[in-house]
Amino acid sequence: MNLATIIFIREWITAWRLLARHALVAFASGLIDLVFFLAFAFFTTPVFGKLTTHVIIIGSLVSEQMRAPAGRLRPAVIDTLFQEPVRQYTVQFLGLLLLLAVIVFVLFCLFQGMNWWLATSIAGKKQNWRAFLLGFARVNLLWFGLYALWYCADTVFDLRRLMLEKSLGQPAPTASIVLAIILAVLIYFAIISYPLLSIRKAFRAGTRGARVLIPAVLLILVHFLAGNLMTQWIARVNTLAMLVIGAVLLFSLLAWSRVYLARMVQRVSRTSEVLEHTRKSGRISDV
Amino acid sequence: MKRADVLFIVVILLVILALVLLVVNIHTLFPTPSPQAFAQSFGP
Repeated sequence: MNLATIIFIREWITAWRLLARHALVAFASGLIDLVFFLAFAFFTTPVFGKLTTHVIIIGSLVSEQMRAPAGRLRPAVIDTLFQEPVRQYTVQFLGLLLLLAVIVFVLFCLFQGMNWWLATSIAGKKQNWRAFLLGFARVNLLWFGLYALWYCADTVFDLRRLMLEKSLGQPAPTASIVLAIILAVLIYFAIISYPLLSIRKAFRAGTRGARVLIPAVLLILVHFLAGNLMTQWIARVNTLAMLVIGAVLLFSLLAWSRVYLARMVQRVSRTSEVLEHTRKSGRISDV
Repeated sequence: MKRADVLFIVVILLVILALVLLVVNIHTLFPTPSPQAFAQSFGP
C-alpha cells in the first residue's frame, strides 16, 4: 500500500471521527446548508422565471426580425439584439443576469463561507469568523467572475442555438462538452482554494498535489453517487423514509466532504510549501 | 462580541434586505408584456 492510499484512508476515518466528536457543529452545518438551499430557491426562482420569459421574447422577436423580405440581406443576430424592439429586452436580460450573479455571490459567500469556516475549525485550523468570511468573499470574487463569464458563454451559446433552430428549423451544434470541462476545472480549483483562502496557494496545491487531490475529489463524488443510489433504493420502499434518510445523508456527506477536503488540502499545501522552502534553501546553499 | 462583528452582521442583514426588495419588485423593475399582448403584437 503506497503513501497516498494510506493518507486517503487515514483522512477518510479522521474526517468522520472529527464530525462525530463535533456532532453539534456538524448539525449546525447541516442547518446552514438547508437554509442555503431554501434561500437560494426563494431568491433565484423569480429571477430564473424572468430570464426564461426574456429568452422566449427575445427569441421570438429576433426570429421575426430575421425574416428579411425577398431580395434583401438577412440582418446579423447581434445587430438585431441591440435594435428596437428587441433592445429593451436585451438590456433587461443583461440586468437580470447581473442581479442573479449578485444574489448567488452574496448567498454563497454568506452560507457556504460559514460552513467552510466550521469545516476548517473542525479540521483543526482555528480562524476568526469575520476574517474568514471576508477572505472567502475575496477568493470567490475571482471564481464568480470566471463563473459569470462561463454562464454568459453558456447563455449566448444557448440563445444562438435557439435562434438558429428557429430560423433554420433543424438542430444546431452546441459547445456543452467543452463548457462542462471548463466548469469542472473551475470547481476543482475553487474548492481547493476555500480551506486555504489563497488563489496562489490553491493553484500550487491543485497542480503539484493533483495526484492526491483529484482522487480525493473523485472519492467525494463516489460518496455522493452512492448516497444517491441508496436514496433511490429507499424510495422504492418508502417515500417518507427516502426524504428523511436522504436529507440526513446529504447534509452529513456535505459536512464530511468539507472536513475531508479541508484536511487533504491543508496537508498537500503544507507539503508543497515545505518542498518549495527546501528547494529555495537548496538553491541559496548552491549559490 | 466586538463592535466590528456587530457592524459586519448589520451590513450583511442590510444587503439581504436589499436583495429581498429587489426580488419582490422584480416585475416592476423588469416589465414584460403579458402572453396575450405579446401574441397580439405579431398580428394575425
